[in-house]
Amino acid sequence: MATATSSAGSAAAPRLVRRRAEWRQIGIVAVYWSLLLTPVFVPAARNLLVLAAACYFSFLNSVVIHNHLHQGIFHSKRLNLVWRAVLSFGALYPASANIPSHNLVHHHFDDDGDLDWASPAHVGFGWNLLNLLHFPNVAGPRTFAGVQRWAAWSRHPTFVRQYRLESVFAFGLTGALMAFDFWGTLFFVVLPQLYGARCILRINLIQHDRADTASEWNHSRNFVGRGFNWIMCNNGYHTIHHNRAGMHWSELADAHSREVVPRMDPRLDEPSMVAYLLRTYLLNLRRPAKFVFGAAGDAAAQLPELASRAVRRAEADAAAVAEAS
Amino acid sequence: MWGADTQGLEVFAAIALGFLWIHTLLIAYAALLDRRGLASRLARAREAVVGTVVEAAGPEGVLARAEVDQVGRTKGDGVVHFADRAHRSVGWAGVLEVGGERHSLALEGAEVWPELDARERAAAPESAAQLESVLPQAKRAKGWRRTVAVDVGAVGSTVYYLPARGQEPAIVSALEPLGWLRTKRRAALLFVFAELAVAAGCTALALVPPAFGWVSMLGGAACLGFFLGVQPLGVALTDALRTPDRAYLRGRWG
Repeated sequence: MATATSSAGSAAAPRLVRRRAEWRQIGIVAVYWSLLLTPVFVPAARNLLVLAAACYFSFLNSVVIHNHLHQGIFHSKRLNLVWRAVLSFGALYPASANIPSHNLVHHHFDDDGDLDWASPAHVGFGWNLLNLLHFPNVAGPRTFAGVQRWAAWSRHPTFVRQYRLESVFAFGLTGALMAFDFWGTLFFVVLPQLYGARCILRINLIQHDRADTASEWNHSRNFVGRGFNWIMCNNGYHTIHHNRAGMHWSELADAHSREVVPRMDPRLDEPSMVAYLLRTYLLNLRRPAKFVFGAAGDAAAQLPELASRAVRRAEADAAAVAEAS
Repeated sequence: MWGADTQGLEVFAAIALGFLWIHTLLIAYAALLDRRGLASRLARAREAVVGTVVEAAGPEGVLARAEVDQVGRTKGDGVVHFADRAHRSVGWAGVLEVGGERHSLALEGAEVWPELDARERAAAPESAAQLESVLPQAKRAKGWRRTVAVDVGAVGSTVYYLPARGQEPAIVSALEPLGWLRTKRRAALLFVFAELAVAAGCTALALVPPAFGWVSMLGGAACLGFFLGVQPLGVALTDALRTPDRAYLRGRWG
């Protein structure tokens, strides 16, 4: 495992949270809740700027869900479960859905036979922009149907109860706000909630489309802008996140430079997500061809201390289930 | 309360309706693409050859076999839930008799369309004892793995044969392909019309004057419900349009 090199994450453990860096995530969620609730109770705050900011922070709220479901933010297990409910309201879906859909299925790609519920192969329009727009319409239902199937056989002792609690909290609070002010809630709470939940699904397409999910190092696209990764809590570094699912998000930037950059095809490092989106979905009408990677490929790029994909998968599965308890 | 302060909300209503319609049209377009994906098979199905199998080189005298690899898992409540891991078609050589004439078939690489009812029957447990016997393996993280196989074209049976055309492989089918394809394509078209009609109805309701009044509010709630509900329906349609060689089996024991 990599050593913690981030100053934010490596100092002595603070009292409430596991790492100091987690305060950034808590801050993001606090700002997001303010952006959601202010327009409901203060009609003067109803404007396009607030709506746009709420949509953006909703996406960040889903990023926090992702990180929190890999490694809980707080020392207290109970607080971690409560925090999941808080995050669920922001996304209008139970955050615990990430355990099966992301930690256990997406991290396996298609290795288990059937397609990942959020595989880029689920969309196939010729005009690439439509793939980006439509992707959540397919990945969303496949994810929630998959979660239901997983819950039917999972022996996880508390998943179903926690999933229901989060659903009740998210839909209950949203419903209560709608009862208070239907239109204000629909436009300034529900729209951002849906926007963020759908954008985090789109990230699967953005990060993996045209890459090779069977490869050890060339399965993901990375967005390496510093400012972008500060606000995104390092979620731009996706290759290392897949290869070391247990690594804390605050350590990903250094690990990306150390382990991924020397081994990965450089075309999968993108300096800017905005530039990539413009180039891939607006300026280019057609879906790009699948990348063909060099023959040297994975064998030459093996990292001796990195366990095999199957072993890493099993370790990540065990960690995901333990984190969910 | 409820309607509270609605001044200046028109622009946000327009944005919300814009999102609704963009995604309604995308889902409709995706359904039409799924439907179009069956078009070439439909054209070929019109020229399908129907005949009796007189010779078959496969094991136990069959022309072809449709297989589904599955993994079954249980949480220990006596019910095993199956997930599909892979769908496979296996074809062999054989001879088909059509109107007194004999035609040689080479079905390597062909799509094999089984009767879906027959596949369900093949997937069912043989006995309660069989269910009991697999429970310990189904409880493990790896689950209990099995392959459900359905034979198509036993000697003496009737099959439908669609010869290969260009890049498209031959199809050998136990079910009548033309009727199946027509039904599926009709369902896709019906879905698109129904989807657009319901979206239009919800939109019209939301736009009933006075703006943001009670009826309009019901329309807004209907639009939200429609938006959330139409996406799984679109995916269900895509799955329903999967050809029988790739149709999901899934299922459960117990």
